[in-house]
Formats: sequence, C-alpha cells, structure tokens
Amino acid sequence: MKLEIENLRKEFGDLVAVDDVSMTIEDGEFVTFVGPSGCGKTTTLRCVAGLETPTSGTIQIGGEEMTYASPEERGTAFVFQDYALYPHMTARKNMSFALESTDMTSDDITQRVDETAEMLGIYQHLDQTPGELSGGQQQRVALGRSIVRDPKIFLLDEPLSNLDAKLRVQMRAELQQLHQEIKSTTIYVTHDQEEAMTMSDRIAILNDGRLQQIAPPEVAYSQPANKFVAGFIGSPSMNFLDCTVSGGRVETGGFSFEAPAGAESATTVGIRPENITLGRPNTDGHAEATVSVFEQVGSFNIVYIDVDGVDEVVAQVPGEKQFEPGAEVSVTIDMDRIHLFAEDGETVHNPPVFTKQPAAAE
Amino acid sequence: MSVVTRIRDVISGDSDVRTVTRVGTLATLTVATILVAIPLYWMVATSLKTSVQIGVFPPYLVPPTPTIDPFINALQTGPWVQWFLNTVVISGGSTILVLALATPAAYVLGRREFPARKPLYVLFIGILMIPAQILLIPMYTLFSRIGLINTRIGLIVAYSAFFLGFVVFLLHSFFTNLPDNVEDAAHIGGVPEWRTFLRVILPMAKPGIATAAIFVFVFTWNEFLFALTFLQTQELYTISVGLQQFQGLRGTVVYNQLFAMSTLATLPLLIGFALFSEQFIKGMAGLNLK
Repeated sequence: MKLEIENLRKEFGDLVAVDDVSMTIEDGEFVTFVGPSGCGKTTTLRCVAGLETPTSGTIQIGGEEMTYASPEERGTAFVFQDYALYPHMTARKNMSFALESTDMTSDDITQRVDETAEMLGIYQHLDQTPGELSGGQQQRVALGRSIVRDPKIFLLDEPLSNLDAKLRVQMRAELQQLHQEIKSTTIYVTHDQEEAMTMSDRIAILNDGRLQQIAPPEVAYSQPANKFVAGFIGSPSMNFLDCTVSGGRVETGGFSFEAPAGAESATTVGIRPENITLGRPNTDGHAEATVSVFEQVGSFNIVYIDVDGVDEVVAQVPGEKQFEPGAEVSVTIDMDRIHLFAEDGETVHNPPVFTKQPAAAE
Repeated sequence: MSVVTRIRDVISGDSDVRTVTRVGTLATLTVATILVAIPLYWMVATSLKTSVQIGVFPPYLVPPTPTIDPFINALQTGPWVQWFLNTVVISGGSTILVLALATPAAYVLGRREFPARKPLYVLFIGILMIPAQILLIPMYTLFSRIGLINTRIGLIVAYSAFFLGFVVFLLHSFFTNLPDNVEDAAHIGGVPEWRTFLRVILPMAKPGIATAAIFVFVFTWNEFLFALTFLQTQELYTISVGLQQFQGLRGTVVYNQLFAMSTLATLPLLIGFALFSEQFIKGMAGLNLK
C-alpha cells in the first residue's frame, strides 16, 4: 500500500521532533529511516502508526486520508525495539491475540499462526512464553505477530538493536528475504547506517527532525545531498578537509586539484576513505603523510594518517597493505570521487553513481 | 535459600566489610523476626495450655501437656462459625468491590490522557488524608437513613469507601510503570480497549493487584471500630467483634479460650500470606510509590 507523508510536523512542548517531513513510499517498497538518536525517525514512524498525533501535516495510506485515524483503522503493523510481547501469553497466544478480535474462525487463526511460525522457524516454540525464549526467538515472535495480521504497511522500530552482532546480520538477511516473500510496504527505523544500506530500496536520512535526503542506498552514498548525509552514510566516515577555490583550482593544505564545474562556492572537500591510496613515499605521491594509527580489520584495514598541512585523514586500504604506526607514506586521492560542499553544508559537486550490471536476460 | 546456605554465604563473604554488613543485616532481621514472632507464638502456646497452666509463674514457654480443649470449649460459647463466615463475606466482599472500582480508575488515571486527570488523582490522594474515625458518626447517620446499618453490605460499602483512595494510589503507580509498548502493540493490532485491559493490562498488573487485595483483606479482617458500631445483632458480628464480646460474655476473661479463638482468627491470614507471599513481595518491589 502506498504511503504519502506531507509536511509532517510533530512538537512535544517546545521540542520539534519532526519538522516538515514529506515523502512518498510506493507500494511494496522497503524504506529505511536512518539518523542519529533524537533525529525524529521513531516519532515519524509512530505518527504513521497512529501512536502519535501530528501537530500538522497529513498522512495518506493507499490514497486514504489517515492523519487522525486510530491505529487499528490504518492497517499497519508495528514491531517494537523491545518486542513488546505480552509477557504472560505463549508465543502462539501472542500471535493470535489480535486475530481473535476479528471475525476469523479459530481454525483459520490456528492455521495462519502455524504457517507464519513455520515460515519464521519458531513453530517448536509456540507453547513457550517470551521469558523462556531467546532474544532472537522473541524477535521472530514479534515479527510473526505482525505478519499474521497481513498488514498494509510494516513498521519496524529498530527491531534488531537488542540482538548480538552475529544474530543481527543473520536476521537482517532473513528480514530481506521475508520482505521479498510478502512484498508489503515496509518502513524500517535504525540508527545503524550499515543496516540501512544493506536492506533498503531507499533510505531516508533524518537529522534534527528534518529529512535530509531520500534516495536509493547507492545514490545516498555516491551523491549525498549535503555534508550531514555524506558524513553519516559510510563507515569509516568521509574525510572533510577545509578548502579554498581560486584560479580554477581547489586548494587544501595538502592537495590541490582542478575545480569541477560549479565548485566556486565550495569550502569543504569530502573524500571517502576508500578513495585514498597509500604508497611508498616519493614515488607517485601527491602528498607526504605519517601513519598515526593502524587498525587491522581483516579484509581491509583502516589507517589514520597525518598529512602535511591537513588534519588527520582516514584511509581504507586492502587487507594486504600493512603499516606500522610512524611509517611514512605517499597519499594518492582518486580525484574522480571527490565531493565538494558549500559553507551551508549543501553539496556543490558529487561524483557519478556507480552503474549496476543489469540482470541477465532470461 | 535455606538458612544454612545463607549463613554459609555470610561466612564466606569475600571481604570483611561485606561480611560485617551481612551479619549486621542478618542480626537486625533476626531480631525483628523474633519480635514479631513472639506474640504470635505466645498466642498459639497459650491456646494449647490448660487454665491452670496459664496461671503458673514463671510461665511455661512450651505447653507441658498440649490440649485442644480451649478451642472446643470456646467454640461452644457463641456462634463462632457464623462470625467467621460473616468476616469472610465482609472482607472478601470489600476486597472484590474495592478492586472492581479502583482497578479501572487507577488504570485510567495512570495511563490515559484526559482533562482534569491530575486534579482527579489528587482528589483520590486527598481522601487518604481523612482519618476514618472522623467519618464514623456522619457515616452512621447516613447509613441508618438508607437502611445500611446492621447489614453486611453496609459494612462492605463503608470499607470500600475507605480503601478506594488507597488502592487507587497503590495501583496507579503500578499501572504508570507498565511499559507503553505492550499496550500500543494491542492497540495497533485492533484489539478493543476493554479486551486489552482485561487480557493484557490486568495480568501484567497481577502482583500489584494481589498486593492491594492482601492489604484490603487483612485490614478489613482485623477492623474493629466500624464493625462494632455498624453491626448490632450478634448473628452479624465479625470475628474481631466476636472476640471482644467473648471477653465480656464470661465476666472473667478465659485467656486460653480467648487465645484459641484469636489463633483461629489469625490462621486464615497467615495461611493466605504464606500462599501469596511471593506475589506480595513482587508487588511491593514493583511499586514505585512517589
């Protein structure tokens, strides 16, 4: 079901939690709201669910005006961060409880719960109460409770944040698979940009209650709308260096390069760590630098370098490149992947988006 | 945890300071327990002594020849069974009525936004500040006009009126502390509000409700002043009034029989508390009274 949010604003007293947020989410789309704590992502989600009443703005679900409709009229399902399972009911009862208030027969309910539990791999746990289940199992019960209702829109509020790292990655994949199976419109809230990048059709980046950008992950990554998005998306974060533009060249303390079109107002250069190559000193170097910290990750490594005339810069190098702290290196930057930002943080130049190889014709 | 393992824990505590604190705590609790237990023990012990044995000085700590005669003799002096039943009906009725009224009220005051919510809650708290004794005469006058004097239902209504404010206060804090998300989950699922209240909220508030129930039951079971004033015919007496009557009935107080009846009167409460102590402790721990 299509969801349209227009000029949504939510105030709590003097605090503006959501400020003029507008977006359209297409039927079957998986959109992730991402942003730091307190950016308004959960409040926006709760407004969509009907758990908060917007101060102004409108919400339409499937073309129907729903701004002030009660939660049950909206046909949404909400998965809470803490799962919010009914602690005294078995997993089966948790899943069937809401259905018992509908006109479904008990046979149909049992069948629906069984099928969903089977799909989520919790069938053998149906007679246990939440207290007897692990975090991952509770999470599945919470998902199951939403799925059985066959909602128009799934709303998931940081559903994986209480799980350990390994289980989180596993559940991430399962959620994506689940979305492909049931094809419901889904909004997923997270503060973890990696989750946002890996799971979504589009990601909506929020900060201070305002929507910064809504775009497919690869676009948000390659063509961030502003400095905030550029810094938030990607790990390790983008490097920002102060710059000046004069005589058709962009100058930073350590680097200088030809200014791209429209770059006159740029005051900051953005360079992603993976676009920095470290080599032996004085061979092909654009600048000299000293390694200050070396972080071993495995498949790749992270190197903090002190570049002459610039602050600390972070580079991401292939796993086989190893450095001792204090090592002298030359620094090469992929100038085709440079970002430039104006004084107000707006982007003035982005590199192109990487093209995807199309699916093979059948 | 058994006392032995508890003591072993105390002894094997890893630092001296901790051991001292633990021993101190244990000692204080032991003294407090003994202080509470002595009168109870004395009551039970005396009820098992003969009339001659209770007059002996120094007194027997343990009845030398325990006998249940005081129980049998005392039970023949009045309609004790009737008085017991009256007390059960009145205490049980008050508990049910108070909970039936206070639970939904506390829920709404604790979890719903509506105008005048705060003043209303303050009003309930305000009721707590009125000493029951002040209300004795006005209530007597009022109740006698509407024919509630000398009825069980009259006493039930009176007790319920006193406890309403207290139980609303108690449960209010309990409901306020329940997580919002669970209720929201039911709300989004389209579960009707009354069903959410009955099937989700009430079971989650069980420890709090059990605590309130125990409070009301114990207080009404022991209540004397209103029962004495409101109940006039012997058949309607509660056990506390019965015990007082029993003292007067015989001219002289027969202590072993009085204590035998006191033991019987206390027993249901002790058994009840033993059965529900876990719920009660959970409830007290869950209460965040502020």
